[in-house]
Amino acid sequence: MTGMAAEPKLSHTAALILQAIESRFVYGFSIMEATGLPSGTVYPAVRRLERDRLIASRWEKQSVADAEGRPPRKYYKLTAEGKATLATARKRYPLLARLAPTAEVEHA
Amino acid sequence: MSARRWPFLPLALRLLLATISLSLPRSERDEWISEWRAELHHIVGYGVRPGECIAFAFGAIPDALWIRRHPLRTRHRLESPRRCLTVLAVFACLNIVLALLLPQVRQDIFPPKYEGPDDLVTVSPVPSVVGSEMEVPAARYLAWNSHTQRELTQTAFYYPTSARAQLGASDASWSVGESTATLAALLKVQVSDAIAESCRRNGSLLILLSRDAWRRDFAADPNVVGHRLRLAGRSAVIVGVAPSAASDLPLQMDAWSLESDQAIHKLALKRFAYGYMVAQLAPSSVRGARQRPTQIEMVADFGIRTRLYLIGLSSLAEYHHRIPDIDFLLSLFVTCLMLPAILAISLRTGLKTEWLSIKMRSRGWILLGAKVALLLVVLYCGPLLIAHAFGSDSRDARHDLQTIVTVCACPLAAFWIVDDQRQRCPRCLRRLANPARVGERSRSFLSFSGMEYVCAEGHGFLHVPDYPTSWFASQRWLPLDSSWAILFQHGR
Repeated sequence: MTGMAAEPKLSHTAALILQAIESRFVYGFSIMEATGLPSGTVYPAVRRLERDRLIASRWEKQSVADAEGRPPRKYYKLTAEGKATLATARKRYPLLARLAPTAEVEHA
Repeated sequence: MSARRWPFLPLALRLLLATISLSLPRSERDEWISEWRAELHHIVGYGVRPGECIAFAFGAIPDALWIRRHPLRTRHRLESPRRCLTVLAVFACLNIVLALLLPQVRQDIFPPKYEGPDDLVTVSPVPSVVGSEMEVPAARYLAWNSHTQRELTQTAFYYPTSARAQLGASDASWSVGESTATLAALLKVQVSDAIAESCRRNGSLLILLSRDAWRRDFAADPNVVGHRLRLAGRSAVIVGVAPSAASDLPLQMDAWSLESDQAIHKLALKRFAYGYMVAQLAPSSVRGARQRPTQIEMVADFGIRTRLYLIGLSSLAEYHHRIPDIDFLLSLFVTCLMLPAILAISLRTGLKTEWLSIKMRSRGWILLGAKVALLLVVLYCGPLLIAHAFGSDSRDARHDLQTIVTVCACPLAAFWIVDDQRQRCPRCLRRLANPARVGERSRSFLSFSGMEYVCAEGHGFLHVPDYPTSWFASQRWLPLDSSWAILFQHGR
């Protein structure tokens, strides 16, 4: 049995992205805008966070996208484990909280 | 400036994304490209500058690389035995088709009928089972040649060198055999007396051109005889074109310079003057096409003493047609010798399947046999194709490259076959999955420490100890009954 008690170690970049997602920057480009990180950093990090089950993804409904004449987007949200990990990360990186919490509108 | 003003940009970036997506496993591809296209659509509509759009799209490369290294879903490439055999069969067929389509490769596999003299042989200083690719010292040749040999009517010798040939405006690097004048007669090439006399007077070299060099450097010019060129700085005259049978001589030469006896004697004084000897069998020695002698006794005359040698003969007709096959068989033989080591270093050893029915066990053997058969095709055709793709024009260089690739590929293929077979469930022959480390190395009493593999179909677990103990000496297969099936529904 490994890792039950151990808290997952989060890099500053990953913590920043978690913080952005919690602040409802819920898709790739908005995370890039909120964090200032390039796409080549954000997307692989998002994949890793999803693999580690700190975030979960879901696709926007096709009908919503069709109504706006655009392709459906993939949204991310924090899991319970992700929230707990972010809370721990905030203690480690106190400046994380300063990330502007301007909410993005998620189209349900 | 907004990206919207560049109408071709979204199209170009979509094309870029589509290209990058090809590097992803198929199971990940659709979702990945949908997400990136949606994001791109948003960015272009958002009024981002073209440079930023391009930078954004190029971010897809590290993303795709990350997914390649950490696939989100389990890969099923060679998991099922049918898939594994299909992939191998397609690969083998591709090799065969390519080999048959390329004329030069096809010629190596199905060599054209030998049309040279039946009585020409290459001579080896020792009898050999793998042909007569043995070099003969020039001094030994002269000693043999100085004595009348009962079984041979005529002999020739050539010493391989390389030289720069100046062919009018162009230069070429040629492999040249410094040969005795008898080589032309052995190959049934008539040398014009007038040209030979003229060359002797001028001190020019007499050049016998190989058929390949004649086609390559002289565009198969029918009037090439008498053509003048400079070879290694010396004036030379082409006196004939060797017949196609000459391409079966050891070491592929571009040309042979027909040297005087004095020049060959001078060559024999060199310390490492090793060359190749060709001879014509006496009619009394040839008893039908299949009854040529493979070894004979030859007397060497060293001036004050004579010495008897047992030498090997190899028919020119069989010489090159036999060697590639022998190398392939030798590679397989060496791999067989390495098999115990391969079995020892592969993942597991000696999976016991006695508890399985004969039908199930035979399925495993059939899979193994099919993999071996298909890989043999790949191992035969693949190195040939590689040798033709990356080798030089010289057939010998290609042959060497083919041998090296075969020798390297055979043990790797054997390792893969053994390893793949051992990582399969003995019941359904699918690859075992989800390796997990179990136990602790310090706790070996009534326990084991090692790796645990599971069959995705739920047929059982394979426990492989890191080191054998009295409790757990070798790997064990733990079959699961149907009551476990509910846990494995997602694996199916």
